[in-house]
Amino acid sequence: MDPAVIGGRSVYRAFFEYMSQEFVPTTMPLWVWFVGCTFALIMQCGWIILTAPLWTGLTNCLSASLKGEPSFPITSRWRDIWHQCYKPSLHDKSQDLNRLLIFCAFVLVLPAAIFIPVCTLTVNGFPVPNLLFICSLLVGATLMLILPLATQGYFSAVKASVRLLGEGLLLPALIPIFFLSGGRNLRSFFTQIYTLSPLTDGAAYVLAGGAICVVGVLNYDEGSDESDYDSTCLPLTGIDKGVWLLTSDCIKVCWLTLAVDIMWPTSLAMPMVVPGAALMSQWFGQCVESVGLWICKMGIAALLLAGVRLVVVSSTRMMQIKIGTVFLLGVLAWQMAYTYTP
Amino acid sequence: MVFVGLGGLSAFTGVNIACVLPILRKPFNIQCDLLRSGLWGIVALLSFLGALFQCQGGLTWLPIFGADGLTWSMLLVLAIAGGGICSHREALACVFLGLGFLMSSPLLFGLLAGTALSLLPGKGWKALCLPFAVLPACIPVDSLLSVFLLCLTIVQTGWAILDQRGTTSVVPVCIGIFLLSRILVEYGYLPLTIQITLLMCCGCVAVGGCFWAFYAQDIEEILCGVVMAWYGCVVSDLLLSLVSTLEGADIFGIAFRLGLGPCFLGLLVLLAVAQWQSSGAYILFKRFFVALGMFQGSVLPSSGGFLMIWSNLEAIGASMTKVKPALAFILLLLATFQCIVITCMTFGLLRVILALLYQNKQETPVKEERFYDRQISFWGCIGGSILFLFLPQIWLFITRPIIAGSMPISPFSWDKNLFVITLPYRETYLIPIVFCLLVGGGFWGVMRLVSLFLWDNRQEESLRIMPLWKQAAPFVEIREKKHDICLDASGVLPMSVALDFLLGGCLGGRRFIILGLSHGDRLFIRYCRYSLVILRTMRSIIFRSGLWCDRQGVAWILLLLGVGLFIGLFSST
Repeated sequence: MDPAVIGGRSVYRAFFEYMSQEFVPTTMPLWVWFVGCTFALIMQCGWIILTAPLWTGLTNCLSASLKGEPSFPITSRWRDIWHQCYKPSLHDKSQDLNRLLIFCAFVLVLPAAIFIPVCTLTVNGFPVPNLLFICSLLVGATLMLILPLATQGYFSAVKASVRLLGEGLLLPALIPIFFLSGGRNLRSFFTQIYTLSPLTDGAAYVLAGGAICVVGVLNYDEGSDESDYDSTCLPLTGIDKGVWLLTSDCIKVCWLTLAVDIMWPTSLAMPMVVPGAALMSQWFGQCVESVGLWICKMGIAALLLAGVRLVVVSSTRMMQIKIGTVFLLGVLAWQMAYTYTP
Repeated sequence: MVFVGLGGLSAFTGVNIACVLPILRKPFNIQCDLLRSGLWGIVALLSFLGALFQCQGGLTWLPIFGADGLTWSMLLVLAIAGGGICSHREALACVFLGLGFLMSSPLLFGLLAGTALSLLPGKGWKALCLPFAVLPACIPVDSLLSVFLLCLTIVQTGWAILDQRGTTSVVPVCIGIFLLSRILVEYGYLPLTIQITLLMCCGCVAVGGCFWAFYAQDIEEILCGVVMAWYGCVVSDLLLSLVSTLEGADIFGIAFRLGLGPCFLGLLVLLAVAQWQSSGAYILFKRFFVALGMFQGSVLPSSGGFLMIWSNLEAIGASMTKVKPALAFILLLLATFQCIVITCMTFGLLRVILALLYQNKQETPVKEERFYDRQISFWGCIGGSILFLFLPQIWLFITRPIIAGSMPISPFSWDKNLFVITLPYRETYLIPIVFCLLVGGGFWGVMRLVSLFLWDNRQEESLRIMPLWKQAAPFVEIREKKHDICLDASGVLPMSVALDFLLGGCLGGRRFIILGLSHGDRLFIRYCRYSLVILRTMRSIIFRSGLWCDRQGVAWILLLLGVGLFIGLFSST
């Protein structure tokens, strides 16, 4: 092998080992591995961004059929976003801050969409954040989405401030679940709970997943009366509003994906330590299977969300219930795990 | 070593002269300010060098001076704050405190710090009360009163922050941290009940700060509330690292030092910028400073606030091993409380940043005053906060004498781990620079893509400006109204009302504000003076809590269910 390749390998290896502080076990040329893995992560991010509006469309459809109302097709949300992006923007100079906030929110969702496992655990060598990191990203992005509403003043500001405070306080409410994950990164956390039975020693993690699911599900979003109010009062037009809608969908899908991953980690494919040809094809098969399972899981989540929309509770009360339930479920889950591993 | 010591002393003398002598000020006002800022800059530089090279005992050849490592890092913070101070009285307080740090005798330190504390409010009964905060420095550690006086120190230094405006808020913070870190080291270990009492005092300070950040109407008052909340949070870390026997005591020390680093420097920038009214070319600078200060104090990943939450959680996670379940649960509640405080700090900062942005829209001519001489401290803070965020090991190295623990990596050995925060006995680590670069690159990429595919052909159409509610109406040009938003933050982000809504109205909405929280400690005095008011308030609280319980039926059922399950789980093991 010529020295340049060896040099290149050592540089790549040093880079990845430095980034992730762990050994990169692979037998294939490292650049192939690097390009392949990066491509896979970007594909996953793109997959979440593409499917999030479809999922919201599905939820709207289900919700409408449960209520007995006529419904739009599943792709209606995507069409709406597309339409907003190509609508002439009635942009006021004073709304530059709003535009900045919305795009920051979108950019903050991207790492979350990259690192939350959809079909497989992230392969070794890539830096993987922990649960606190991902949740802070999602909470931060949500706050940035609500801020344009809160800066309008008058009654809208009060309502939006309640939402802002409630969404911000979700981070402290999730603290017991962070302790449950033990500060480990997502890969080692999922590896640890991979083989646990959901009925006995893994029950605590199912409960924790339920708590995170509550964060994603207990929301007033598009389609309900409250959020119609939100989207009509939103001081955004054109592409800003398009990105706002897309980001809010992505945030919901990220929360729910994280929740179902923690509830049922076995549905994810586990990357092998030393890839060989046979093992590789097996892993790809598992990945395809996991994507199918993910679609099923998100379908169930959509049904759940559509059911939640039938409940008539004011948004403030919804926020109170959400924070209380998340914290309570988290404490219970932590307690159950504590009895198993004191 | 001698150079640093002598340089520090001479710079101090210079600052003193520049503050005190009015002859210098009258004819050459600008030059005097510049001189003072420059001297503070020199003090900051020298203390940085002193901390970096561990100049311990550099001044021992003078009988009353004795500088150890802790002194230099505290002087560094004080000098950065001193550059942004306007009035002579405040500057004098800073100088006194700086000299106090250099003293070897605790009595002399107490004298100088007490003088500084009484100088801060200037007059009134508060100036009489505040010097009592330094009493623990003057009595022996084994005295019966010492724990009580420590509580008094925590509460009084927290209380002293509220009166300050601008960077002067740093003076009580420095006094509190310096005093507590010196005295608590002498204790070594305190019983659990005393630990909890001290922690409750910290909690009171933090909660007071959060309320202040939500209810205050003025930008500087909100910022004081934020600093007070931060102080409560950081002091609780200091306590746990020095007097507890928990497994994670070392990590609490790191959490304390990280809290004192990027997050505090970011807050310092905001404190300085809030006092500075500007227009024209400097607005961009101001926005940059404000945005960075906001980021450093927020919960967004990799910022200073996030580092605080992360390290606190790691410390408490490490402490939870090998303790009784009840204690583990208390630790869990403590972690939640600290996280709530930092989240509330973020909301306080949001109020500040929005108020500052609205303030810029005012069209009244603003005097372009004192920009040049304060730039040194602005850039110092900004540069410091960015440097210490991206190279956290340097900050940990500088502040290592505060709490003895694991030895950080020396910045002189150029190691890749300088970028990484690692914690003792834990597998976890954090590399802030990687995430910041990732998000920065992502932002650039997204904006580039959007401008390529979506914005360019829409530029001209977006020129038609009109408010949102008139979108469907025929286009009528109306002269734009001037923004009549006043300097304060009363109309911006009504978090107080939101908190009241979220707690089910138990705070009593506007009445709570009128009663006096927005007017400082008047609430306390009034309650003490009129016992009838106390009785009436107690009764109203009982009625209101009864009503609240009545209204929260669902929540109570959930809570009781949870408590039942929780107790069941405890008893089953």
